[in-house]
Amino acid sequence: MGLLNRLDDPYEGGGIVLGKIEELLNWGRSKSDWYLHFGLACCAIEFMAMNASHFDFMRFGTIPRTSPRQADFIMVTGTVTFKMAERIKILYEQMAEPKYVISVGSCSNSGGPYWEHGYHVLKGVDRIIPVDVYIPGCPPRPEAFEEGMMKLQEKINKQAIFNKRKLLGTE
Amino acid sequence: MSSYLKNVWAGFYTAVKGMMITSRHMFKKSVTIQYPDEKFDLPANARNKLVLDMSRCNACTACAIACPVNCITVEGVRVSPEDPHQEVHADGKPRKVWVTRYEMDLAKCCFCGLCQAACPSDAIKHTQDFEYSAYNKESLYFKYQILTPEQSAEKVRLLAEFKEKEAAAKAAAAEKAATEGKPVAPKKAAPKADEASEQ
Amino acid sequence: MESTNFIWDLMGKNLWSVVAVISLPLIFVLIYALVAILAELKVSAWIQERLGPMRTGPWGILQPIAEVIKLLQKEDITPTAASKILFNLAPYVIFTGAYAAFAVIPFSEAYAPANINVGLFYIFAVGSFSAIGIVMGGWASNNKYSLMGAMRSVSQVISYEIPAAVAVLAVVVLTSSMNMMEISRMQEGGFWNWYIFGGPGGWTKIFMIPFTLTLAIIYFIASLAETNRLPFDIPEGESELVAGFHTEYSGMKFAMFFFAEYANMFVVAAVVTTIFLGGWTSPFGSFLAGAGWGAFWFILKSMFVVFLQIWIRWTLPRFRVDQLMYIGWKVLLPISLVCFIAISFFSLLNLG
Repeated sequence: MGLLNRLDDPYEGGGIVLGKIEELLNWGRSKSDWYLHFGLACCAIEFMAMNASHFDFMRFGTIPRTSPRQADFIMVTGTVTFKMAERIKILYEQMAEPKYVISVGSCSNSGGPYWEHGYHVLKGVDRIIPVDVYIPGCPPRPEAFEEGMMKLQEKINKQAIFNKRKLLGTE
Repeated sequence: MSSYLKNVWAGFYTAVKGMMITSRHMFKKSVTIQYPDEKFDLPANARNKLVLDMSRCNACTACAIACPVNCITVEGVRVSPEDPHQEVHADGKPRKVWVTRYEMDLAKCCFCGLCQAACPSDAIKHTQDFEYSAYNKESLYFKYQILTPEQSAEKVRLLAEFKEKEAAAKAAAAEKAATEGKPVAPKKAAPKADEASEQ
Repeated sequence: MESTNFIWDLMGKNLWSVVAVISLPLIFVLIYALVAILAELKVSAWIQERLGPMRTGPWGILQPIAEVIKLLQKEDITPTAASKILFNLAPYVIFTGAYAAFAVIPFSEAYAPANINVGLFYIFAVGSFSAIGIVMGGWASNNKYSLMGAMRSVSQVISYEIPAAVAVLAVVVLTSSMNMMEISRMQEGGFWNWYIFGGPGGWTKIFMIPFTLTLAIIYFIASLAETNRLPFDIPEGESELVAGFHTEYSGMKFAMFFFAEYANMFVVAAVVTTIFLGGWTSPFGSFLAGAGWGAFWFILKSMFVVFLQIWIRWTLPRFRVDQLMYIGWKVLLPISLVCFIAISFFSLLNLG
């Protein structure tokens, strides 16, 4: 009755059935990521190039959604001014769980050229929302966006769904 | 009436024509470069990840001064002539300055290339590597070192000791000169000591 | 009258056979929707010389499955200010409308879930159901974009139902039947007997060909508007209204909208197939004709019409609201009326 015993205690870890289900669920989430694009500056121009035929972001299973409710991750591309920061926070809070954030470019990573003397720029979008993947560049190459996307997929694939409580306990 | 029918026909005809154009593109070979499997050749002067060659760097801070966003921090300490650990640069010249701290924050860098242009010894360079996105910002904060923190503290101490000694020697020389009534050219001891250690 | 539902023949009329008859179109809708979603992604990519999803299974064919798995896991948000009952009911109302229309669709000689004699009328009746669902969803969301999208959708559906109905009515005049099975059966014997080419008849039907062809095109255009597809997708116009009437929906409720849209696409494609493209009849007379092949031909023709809808979507830009109304009331309606009167006249003269 080994299999059933493991089913009874999903927090024990190593359960075959739950492990496979978890893999399947993570696979679905990682391969079908719809994004809410928040373009603010020149990174958004590079983003257009990435969506176009040569680099074709849709190969990764991403579909652009304009409504935050249907998006899986938000892509902040550009200089986050204080005025826009409020909007980003609202949009992020409107998204449905599970949600992720990709911060693209120096400006949204840490304020970029404005990090020292910018009176109007947020010094990094991670000050208001939790960022999952940082893509460096000013602006990054279209391939760098795709590499960041693959990093995010890796992260989603490693996430625990059933063993969450146990993992939280050990931390 | 005739213009109305003409309009209707034009609307229909243009739609069909547009569909013909898209159908032609449908059967063309796609131009997509499938990124992780095949890669686009970057131009030779592509400015991506900044990489520092520590064997060349001599902490002249030209890059830190040139950087428009101040994302580079450099600190160095002169090599004490009495230091037993002497090193040679990549180009064969002896190292005159130990780099105790070299940090650059690529999360702030604007990839302008000014540091590369300012560097006198070609130590800092933009490479073609762009695949270094990270899960946390700390991994975009690059710290270069050739010395451990203990070693750099040692170097600082050695130089301070040497300077003390030098100052003492200078004071002794000044005393001697005062007693003999002859002025002594200052700063003579230090270069001499340098030369001696180099040879 | 011979049986038009092979399940009745096989199992007799009992509870289980009723369940089988009901669930067969449902299974078909689910499989078809997955295929259509993939087709949409792939065709759009090919038109733009891209590749589309490539990294989910071989050539990305598992993409729709991944999407369903993901949508099942998404949080289901009901906004605090929303009218909760209507908000939660709307996706199911829309899907019910789309699914109910499958009841009268003649998939094959031997299978129409319900072979009723007012089939076309029934399709128009339940087709308007989706408009109710859209208004419910749009109003209940308590979001100005949703409400505007819903209002636009209703005005559009009401305007375009008239030319569509007139086009269908012309075929009803020719066939003197609203039974979709009967209409399909009348077009047996090759593609020259289809109603897009004037229907069965002698050489005098040549006079009718321009009118029936025009009516087929008009019905197709109007059906695009009814299913809210581009170039008539102003209810969800992404550049004006955030996502139109489904702005506030997430997770599985949004997936129901998604499924309903694709199911609706198939319904209108099936109507075009049945009344203009010969339904389940073989295009080459008795070649490959039969009950099984009938289903094959029917699905093939319907999928071609669905492909046409996708093709148009990725070719044309979106209309403005006033342009949309202009096309509906000033172009499609008068032309369809003219064609209808001409066809009625010809059928009075017994030309067809």
